[in-house]
Amino acid sequence: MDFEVWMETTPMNKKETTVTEWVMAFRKGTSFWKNSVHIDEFLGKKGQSEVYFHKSFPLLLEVIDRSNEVGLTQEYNLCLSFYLKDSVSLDVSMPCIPDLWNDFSHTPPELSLIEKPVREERETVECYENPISLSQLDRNNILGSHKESIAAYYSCWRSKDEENEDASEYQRIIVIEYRSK
Amino acid sequence: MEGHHNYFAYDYLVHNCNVAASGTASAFATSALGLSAFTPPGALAAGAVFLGSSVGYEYIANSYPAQAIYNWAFNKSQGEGDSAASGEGVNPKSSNQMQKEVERGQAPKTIERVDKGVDRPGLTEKPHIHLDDGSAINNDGTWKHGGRALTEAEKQWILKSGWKLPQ
Repeated sequence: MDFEVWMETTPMNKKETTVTEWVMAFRKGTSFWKNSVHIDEFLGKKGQSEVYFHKSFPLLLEVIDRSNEVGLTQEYNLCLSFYLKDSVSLDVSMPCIPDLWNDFSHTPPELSLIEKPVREERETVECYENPISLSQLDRNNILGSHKESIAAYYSCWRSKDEENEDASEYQRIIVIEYRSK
Repeated sequence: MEGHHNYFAYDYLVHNCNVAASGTASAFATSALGLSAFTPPGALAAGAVFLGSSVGYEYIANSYPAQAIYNWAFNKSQGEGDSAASGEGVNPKSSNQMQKEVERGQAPKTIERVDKGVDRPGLTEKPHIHLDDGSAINNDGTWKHGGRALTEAEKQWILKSGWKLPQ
Protein backbone atom coordinates (compact mmCIF):
# COMPACT_ATOMS: atom_id res chain seq x y z
CA MET A 1 0.00 0.00 0.00
CA ASP A 2 1.25 3.45 -0.84
CA PHE A 3 2.55 5.17 2.25
CA GLU A 4 0.30 8.22 1.95
CA VAL A 5 -2.80 6.04 1.49
CA TRP A 6 -1.81 3.87 4.42
CA MET A 7 -1.23 6.95 6.55
CA GLU A 8 -4.62 8.41 5.66
CA THR A 9 -6.63 5.23 6.06
CA THR A 10 -5.03 3.55 9.06
CA PRO A 11 -5.95 4.66 12.59
CA MET A 12 -3.00 6.22 14.35
CA ASN A 13 -2.80 3.54 17.01
CA LYS A 14 -2.60 0.86 14.30
CA LYS A 15 0.30 2.51 12.58
CA GLU A 16 3.01 0.27 13.91
CA THR A 17 5.63 0.74 11.30
CA THR A 18 8.38 -1.27 9.81
CA VAL A 19 11.91 -0.11 9.42
CA THR A 20 11.59 -0.16 5.65
CA GLU A 21 8.43 1.94 5.73
CA TRP A 22 10.03 4.45 8.03
CA VAL A 23 13.28 4.75 6.11
CA MET A 24 11.55 4.95 2.73
CA ALA A 25 9.01 7.47 3.98
CA PHE A 26 11.76 9.52 5.59
CA ARG A 27 13.69 9.45 2.34
CA LYS A 28 10.59 10.78 0.58
CA GLY A 29 9.99 13.37 3.27
CA THR A 30 6.57 11.99 4.14
CA SER A 31 7.20 10.25 7.43
CA PHE A 32 4.90 11.34 10.22
CA TRP A 33 7.37 9.78 12.65
CA LYS A 34 9.84 12.29 11.28
CA ASN A 35 13.40 11.58 12.36
CA SER A 36 12.81 9.31 15.33
CA VAL A 37 10.78 6.29 16.32
CA HIS A 38 10.49 4.64 19.71
CA ILE A 39 11.02 0.91 19.77
CA ASP A 40 7.44 0.25 20.93
CA GLU A 41 6.19 1.96 17.76
CA PHE A 42 8.13 -0.53 15.67
CA LEU A 43 6.81 -3.43 17.69
CA GLY A 44 3.24 -2.16 17.62
CA LYS A 45 2.63 -3.07 21.23
CA LYS A 46 3.81 -2.35 24.72
CA GLY A 47 6.48 -4.60 26.08
CA GLN A 48 8.84 -5.08 28.93
CA SER A 49 12.04 -3.07 29.06
CA GLU A 50 14.07 -6.22 28.62
CA VAL A 51 12.20 -7.01 25.41
CA TYR A 52 12.79 -3.49 24.15
CA PHE A 53 16.48 -3.81 24.91
CA HIS A 54 16.93 -7.07 23.04
CA LYS A 55 14.78 -5.98 20.08
CA SER A 56 16.74 -2.76 19.72
CA PHE A 57 19.85 -4.29 18.21
CA PRO A 58 18.29 -6.12 15.25
CA LEU A 59 16.15 -3.06 14.62
CA LEU A 60 19.19 -0.79 14.57
CA LEU A 61 20.93 -3.22 12.23
CA GLU A 62 17.93 -3.11 9.92
CA VAL A 63 17.83 0.67 10.00
CA ILE A 64 21.55 0.79 9.15
CA ASP A 65 21.14 -1.61 6.25
CA ARG A 66 18.02 0.04 4.81
CA SER A 67 19.49 3.52 5.26
CA ASN A 68 22.67 2.46 3.52
CA GLU A 69 20.63 1.05 0.63
CA VAL A 70 18.84 4.33 0.00
CA GLY A 71 21.85 6.54 0.70
CA LEU A 72 20.51 8.10 3.88
CA THR A 73 23.69 7.43 5.79
CA GLN A 74 25.55 9.89 3.58
CA GLU A 75 23.47 12.63 5.15
CA TYR A 76 22.49 11.18 8.51
CA ASN A 77 24.01 9.45 11.47
CA LEU A 78 21.88 6.78 13.11
CA CYS A 79 21.40 6.68 16.85
CA LEU A 80 19.89 4.18 19.23
CA SER A 81 19.20 5.81 22.59
CA PHE A 82 18.51 4.03 25.85
CA TYR A 83 16.93 6.47 28.29
CA LEU A 84 17.94 5.76 31.87
CA LYS A 85 16.45 6.89 35.15
CA ASP A 86 17.43 10.34 36.34
CA SER A 87 20.04 10.80 39.02
CA VAL A 88 20.23 13.43 41.73
CA SER A 89 23.86 14.22 41.07
CA LEU A 90 26.36 13.91 38.26
CA ASP A 91 26.57 10.15 38.01
CA VAL A 92 30.01 9.22 36.72
CA SER A 93 29.65 5.54 37.52
CA MET A 94 28.87 3.39 34.54
CA PRO A 95 25.41 1.83 34.43
CA CYS A 96 25.13 -1.86 35.16
CA ILE A 97 25.27 -3.18 31.61
CA PRO A 98 24.27 -6.84 32.04
CA ASP A 99 20.76 -5.90 33.12
CA LEU A 100 20.61 -2.39 31.78
CA TRP A 101 16.85 -2.58 31.21
CA ASN A 102 16.29 -2.40 34.96
CA ASP A 103 17.69 1.12 34.78
CA PHE A 104 15.42 2.25 31.92
CA SER A 105 13.20 5.27 32.41
CA HIS A 106 9.57 5.17 31.32
CA THR A 107 10.64 6.25 27.82
CA PRO A 108 11.21 3.31 25.46
CA PRO A 109 14.49 3.20 23.53
CA GLU A 110 14.48 5.31 20.41
CA LEU A 111 16.01 5.18 16.95
CA SER A 112 16.88 8.51 15.39
CA LEU A 113 18.26 9.84 12.16
CA ILE A 114 20.55 12.74 12.99
CA GLU A 115 21.44 15.12 10.25
CA LYS A 116 25.15 15.58 9.60
CA PRO A 117 27.16 17.46 10.67
CA VAL A 118 25.06 18.50 13.66
CA ARG A 119 27.51 18.08 16.46
CA GLU A 120 27.80 21.49 18.00
CA GLU A 121 28.30 21.61 21.72
CA ARG A 122 25.12 22.20 23.66
CA GLU A 123 25.26 24.42 26.67
CA THR A 124 24.89 22.33 29.76
CA VAL A 125 25.61 23.10 33.35
CA GLU A 126 27.45 19.86 33.95
CA CYS A 127 28.11 16.96 31.66
CA TYR A 128 29.92 13.65 31.77
CA GLU A 129 30.46 11.31 28.85
CA ASN A 130 32.34 8.08 28.70
CA PRO A 131 32.64 5.46 25.97
CA ILE A 132 31.26 1.97 26.38
CA SER A 133 32.52 -1.03 24.50
CA LEU A 134 29.87 -2.03 21.99
CA SER A 135 30.50 -5.66 22.76
CA GLN A 136 29.37 -5.06 26.33
CA LEU A 137 25.96 -3.93 25.11
CA ASP A 138 25.56 -6.06 22.01
CA ARG A 139 26.53 -9.36 23.52
CA ASN A 140 25.14 -11.37 20.62
CA ASN A 141 27.28 -9.34 18.23
CA ILE A 142 24.29 -8.44 16.09
CA LEU A 143 25.97 -5.21 15.00
CA GLY A 144 29.36 -6.86 14.56
CA SER A 145 29.55 -6.26 10.81
CA HIS A 146 29.31 -2.50 11.39
CA LYS A 147 31.33 -2.17 14.57
CA GLU A 148 34.06 -0.10 12.93
CA SER A 149 31.48 2.59 12.27
CA ILE A 150 29.72 2.41 15.60
CA ALA A 151 30.49 4.10 18.89
CA ALA A 152 28.64 3.76 22.14
CA TYR A 153 28.77 6.10 25.05
CA TYR A 154 27.15 6.84 28.37
CA SER A 155 26.22 10.40 29.22
CA CYS A 156 24.94 12.13 32.32
CA TRP A 157 24.16 15.82 32.26
CA ARG A 158 22.17 18.62 33.72
CA SER A 159 20.73 21.08 31.27
CA LYS A 160 20.32 24.75 31.77
CA ASP A 161 16.97 25.68 33.21
CA GLU A 162 15.13 25.89 29.93
CA GLU A 163 12.86 23.77 27.79
CA ASN A 164 10.70 23.27 30.87
CA GLU A 165 13.00 20.70 32.35
CA ASP A 166 13.95 20.36 35.98
CA ALA A 167 17.36 21.90 36.31
CA SER A 168 18.00 20.01 39.52
CA GLU A 169 17.75 16.61 37.86
CA TYR A 170 20.48 14.87 35.93
CA GLN A 171 19.52 13.01 32.80
CA ARG A 172 21.25 9.79 31.89
CA ILE A 173 21.41 8.10 28.54
CA ILE A 174 23.30 5.46 26.61
CA VAL A 175 23.67 6.11 22.91
CA ILE A 176 24.84 3.78 20.18
CA GLU A 177 25.74 5.82 17.13
CA TYR A 178 26.44 4.72 13.59
CA ARG A 179 28.30 6.92 11.14
CA SER A 180 29.08 5.81 7.64
CA LYS A 181 32.66 6.38 6.61
CA MET B 1 39.32 1.57 25.03
CA GLU B 2 38.71 -0.18 21.76
CA GLY B 3 40.32 1.28 18.70
CA HIS B 4 37.13 2.10 16.87
CA HIS B 5 36.06 4.42 19.63
CA ASN B 6 38.72 6.85 18.50
CA TYR B 7 36.57 7.49 15.45
CA PHE B 8 34.67 10.10 17.44
CA ALA B 9 36.60 12.91 18.99
CA TYR B 10 33.99 13.44 21.66
CA ASP B 11 34.09 9.84 22.76
CA TYR B 12 36.06 10.43 25.89
CA LEU B 13 34.89 13.68 27.25
CA VAL B 14 34.60 14.83 30.78
CA HIS B 15 33.85 18.44 31.33
CA ASN B 16 32.33 20.51 34.03
CA CYS B 17 31.30 24.08 33.83
CA ASN B 18 29.38 26.18 36.24
CA VAL B 19 26.61 28.42 35.11
CA ALA B 20 24.96 30.74 37.52
CA ALA B 21 21.41 29.61 37.96
CA SER B 22 18.72 32.16 37.46
CA GLY B 23 16.12 31.62 40.10
CA THR B 24 12.72 33.06 40.62
CA ALA B 25 12.50 36.75 41.12
CA SER B 26 12.67 37.99 44.63
CA ALA B 27 10.86 41.14 43.77
CA PHE B 28 8.68 42.37 40.99
CA ALA B 29 7.21 45.77 40.61
CA THR B 30 5.03 47.37 38.04
CA SER B 31 3.34 50.68 38.22
CA ALA B 32 2.92 51.65 34.61
CA LEU B 33 0.34 49.18 33.42
CA GLY B 34 -2.62 51.34 34.37
CA LEU B 35 -4.71 48.33 35.29
CA SER B 36 -7.78 48.06 37.38
CA ALA B 37 -7.42 45.98 40.48
CA PHE B 38 -6.35 42.42 39.79
CA THR B 39 -4.63 39.58 41.49
CA PRO B 40 -2.46 37.29 39.39
CA PRO B 41 -3.50 33.67 39.86
CA GLY B 42 -1.41 32.09 42.56
CA ALA B 43 0.55 35.21 43.34
CA LEU B 44 -0.86 35.67 46.79
CA ALA B 45 -0.76 32.00 47.51
CA ALA B 46 2.90 32.04 46.59
CA GLY B 47 3.63 34.56 49.25
CA ALA B 48 3.29 37.75 47.28
CA VAL B 49 2.38 40.87 49.11
CA PHE B 50 -0.23 42.97 47.44
CA LEU B 51 0.31 46.71 47.78
CA GLY B 52 -2.16 48.12 45.29
CA SER B 53 -3.45 51.54 44.72
CA SER B 54 -5.82 52.85 42.10
CA VAL B 55 -2.89 53.87 39.90
CA GLY B 56 -0.07 51.47 40.46
CA TYR B 57 0.44 48.04 41.94
CA GLU B 58 3.49 46.51 43.44
CA TYR B 59 4.08 42.86 44.06
CA ILE B 60 6.81 41.46 46.19
CA ALA B 61 6.92 37.83 45.23
CA ASN B 62 8.99 35.43 47.23
CA SER B 63 8.63 32.51 44.93
CA TYR B 64 6.17 33.29 42.17
CA PRO B 65 8.07 33.82 38.90
CA ALA B 66 8.15 37.47 37.97
CA GLN B 67 7.88 36.61 34.29
CA ALA B 68 4.64 34.73 34.86
CA ILE B 69 3.11 37.66 36.72
CA TYR B 70 4.34 40.04 34.06
CA ASN B 71 2.92 37.92 31.23
CA TRP B 72 -0.43 37.70 32.95
CA ALA B 73 -0.53 41.41 33.64
CA PHE B 74 0.62 42.25 30.14
CA ASN B 75 -2.04 40.09 28.56
CA LYS B 76 -4.67 41.68 30.75
CA SER B 77 -3.49 45.14 29.88
CA GLN B 78 -3.56 44.28 26.19
CA GLY B 79 -7.11 42.98 26.46
CA GLU B 80 -6.03 39.53 25.37
CA GLY B 81 -8.09 37.77 27.95
CA ASP B 82 -7.06 35.26 30.51
CA SER B 83 -3.61 33.82 29.99
CA ALA B 84 -5.01 30.33 30.46
CA ALA B 85 -6.36 30.52 26.92
CA SER B 86 -2.87 30.56 25.45
CA GLY B 87 -0.84 28.78 28.09
CA GLU B 88 1.37 31.85 28.38
CA GLY B 89 1.88 33.25 31.82
CA VAL B 90 1.48 29.82 33.35
CA ASN B 91 4.67 28.59 34.92
CA PRO B 92 5.56 25.67 32.62
CA LYS B 93 5.74 22.31 34.27
CA SER B 94 8.63 20.00 33.63
CA SER B 95 8.07 16.77 31.76
CA ASN B 96 8.82 14.95 35.00
CA GLN B 97 6.04 16.75 36.83
CA MET B 98 3.62 16.00 34.03
CA GLN B 99 4.66 12.35 33.85
CA LYS B 100 3.98 12.04 37.57
CA GLU B 101 0.49 13.39 36.96
CA VAL B 102 0.03 10.74 34.28
CA GLU B 103 1.18 8.03 36.68
CA ARG B 104 -1.15 9.32 39.42
CA GLY B 105 -4.12 9.37 37.06
CA GLN B 106 -4.32 13.16 37.21
CA ALA B 107 -3.96 13.58 33.45
CA PRO B 108 -6.54 12.73 30.77
CA LYS B 109 -6.69 9.02 30.07
CA THR B 110 -5.65 9.66 26.49
CA ILE B 111 -2.23 10.89 27.61
CA GLU B 112 0.11 7.91 27.43
CA ARG B 113 3.30 9.42 28.78
CA VAL B 114 5.46 12.54 28.85
CA ASP B 115 9.05 12.22 27.69
CA LYS B 116 11.92 14.48 28.63
CA GLY B 117 13.76 16.54 26.13
CA VAL B 118 17.27 15.57 25.12
CA ASP B 119 19.93 18.17 24.67
CA ARG B 120 23.15 16.46 23.79
CA PRO B 121 25.55 17.31 20.98
CA GLY B 122 23.90 16.08 17.82
CA LEU B 123 20.93 14.60 19.62
CA THR B 124 18.21 17.07 20.41
CA GLU B 125 14.59 16.46 21.26
CA LYS B 126 12.00 18.69 22.78
CA PRO B 127 10.02 17.50 25.79
CA HIS B 128 6.90 15.87 24.37
CA ILE B 129 3.62 14.19 25.19
CA HIS B 130 2.66 10.84 23.70
CA LEU B 131 -1.06 10.39 23.09
CA ASP B 132 -2.75 7.02 23.11
CA ASP B 133 -3.30 7.00 19.35
CA GLY B 134 0.42 7.20 18.59
CA SER B 135 0.61 10.95 18.06
CA ALA B 136 3.14 12.97 20.01
CA ILE B 137 3.20 16.71 20.59
CA ASN B 138 6.20 18.83 21.60
CA ASN B 139 6.10 21.41 24.36
CA ASP B 140 6.20 24.20 21.80
CA GLY B 141 3.01 22.96 20.14
CA THR B 142 4.66 21.32 17.15
CA TRP B 143 3.86 17.72 16.35
CA LYS B 144 6.62 15.20 16.87
CA HIS B 145 4.60 12.32 15.43
CA GLY B 146 1.34 12.39 13.56
CA GLY B 147 -1.21 14.97 14.61
CA ARG B 148 -4.93 15.10 15.34
CA ALA B 149 -7.54 17.33 16.91
CA LEU B 150 -6.99 17.42 20.64
CA THR B 151 -9.85 16.74 23.01
CA GLU B 152 -10.99 19.51 25.31
CA ALA B 153 -9.54 17.63 28.29
CA GLU B 154 -6.18 17.32 26.56
CA LYS B 155 -6.16 21.01 25.67
CA GLN B 156 -6.96 22.07 29.20
CA TRP B 157 -4.29 19.82 30.68
CA ILE B 158 -1.65 21.04 28.24
CA LEU B 159 -2.52 24.70 28.89
CA LYS B 160 -2.67 24.16 32.63
CA SER B 161 0.84 22.75 32.36
CA GLY B 162 2.06 25.87 30.60
CA TRP B 163 2.79 24.11 27.31
CA LYS B 164 1.57 25.31 23.96
CA LEU B 165 -1.20 23.97 21.78
CA PRO B 166 -0.76 23.28 18.07
CA GLN B 167 -1.60 26.22 15.84
